[in-house]
Amino acid sequence: MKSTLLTALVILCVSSLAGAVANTIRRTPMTWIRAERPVTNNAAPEAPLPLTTAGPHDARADEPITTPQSAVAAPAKPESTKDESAGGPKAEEILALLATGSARFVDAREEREFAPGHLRGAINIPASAIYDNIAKLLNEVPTGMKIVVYCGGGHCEASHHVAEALQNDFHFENVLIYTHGWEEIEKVAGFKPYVEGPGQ
Amino acid sequence: MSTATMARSSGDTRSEASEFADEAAPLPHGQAGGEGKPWLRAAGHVCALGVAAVFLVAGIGKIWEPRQFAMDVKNYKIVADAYANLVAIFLPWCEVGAALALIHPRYRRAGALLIGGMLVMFICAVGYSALYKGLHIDCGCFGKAGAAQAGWRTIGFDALLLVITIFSVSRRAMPRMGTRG
Repeated sequence: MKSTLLTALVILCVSSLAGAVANTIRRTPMTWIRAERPVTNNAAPEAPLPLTTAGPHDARADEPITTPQSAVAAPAKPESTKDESAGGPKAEEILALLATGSARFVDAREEREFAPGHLRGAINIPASAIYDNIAKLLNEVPTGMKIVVYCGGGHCEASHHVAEALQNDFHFENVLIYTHGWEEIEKVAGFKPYVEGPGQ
Repeated sequence: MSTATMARSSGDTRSEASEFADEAAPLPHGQAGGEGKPWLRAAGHVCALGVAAVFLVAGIGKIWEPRQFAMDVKNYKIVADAYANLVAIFLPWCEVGAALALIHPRYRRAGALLIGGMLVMFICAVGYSALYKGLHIDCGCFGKAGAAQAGWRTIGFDALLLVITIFSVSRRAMPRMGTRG
C-alpha cells in the first residue's frame, strides 16, 4: 500500500511537471493565477449610463462614439422586468448601437439557440466553445472596437463568460454585456428590424 | 576470474533468479492479484484499458484547450476564480498520467488510486454545483470534444467508471506480475 501511494505521488509530481512545462512552452501560455479584469458593466451604477462611457473600468471610456446623444437618451425609469441589479446597457442604447453600426454584437448562446434567430450581424461564440469560435471575431473585429455580448437574458451567464474571455484572454478593450439579452430583444418591438434568422 | 568475483557473480545471479521467482509466483492471499481465473484477469485488463482510454481522451481534450477548461472549472464556483487556471493547467496532465499508469499492470494500483480519487472529486463537484446549487453548467468532462450539461448523467457515468476502475484492480482481476506497485 505504501509503495502504491508513493508511486501515485510520483505520477502526480511528474504529471504536474509536464503540465507546467507544457504551459510554459505553449505559444500563448496561460497565466498561473488569473488576474481578473472585471467586464465593463458588471458593477455598473444604478443610474443608466450614457453611451459615451462604457463603464467604470473601460479603457476607452473617454472616447466618444459616433452615436448622436439624442438617439441614446437614457430612459427615465428602469424598464427591465428582472435582474435589476445587473445594470448594463438598456434596450434604447442597444438599438442606437444597432442603428449606427458602431458596435459588433456577439451572441453567447449555443448554436442551436442562435440559428433560429439572432441580432443581425451577430457573431456566434457559444460560452461552451469560446476558443473554437474566437477566430470569427478576431478576423473581423479590431480589439479596440466596442463589442456587445448577449445571451438568453435573465440569469444566463454565458455572456459574462464570453465577455470575460474577450477581455482577459484576447485583450478586447471595450466589451459590454447586454444583460437582458435575447429575452428582451424578443419582447421589444424596436428590435424587430434588426433580428434575422429562419425563425423570424 | 578470482574466487571473490565468482562469488559475487553467483550471488547476483541468485538474486536475479530470486526476484524473477518472486514476480512469477502467485502473491500471498489478500495482498495482491493473480488469484482470479484467466478470463477475469483479461476482463480486468480490458476494464483498465477502457477507463484509461476515457481518461486519455478527456485529458488530451483539456490539454488541447486549457482556457476553455479553465472557464468550465470556474463555472462550478468551487475553486476561487483566480486559481481556475492552475486547475486547468495541472489536472488534465494528472488525468493523462494516471491513465498511462493504469495501462501498465505494474503501476495499475497507483493509477487506479489517482483515477478513483479524481472520479470521487468529479462526482462531488457535479453533485454540489449542478445538483445542490442548481447551476446549469457544462460538465467540462472532455474539454471541447464533448460539451454536455453537468447533472445526474455525469454522476452516473463517473460512478460507472469508478466501479470499473475498482474492479480492474481487484484481487481476482489483477494479473500476476507487477501487482505490488
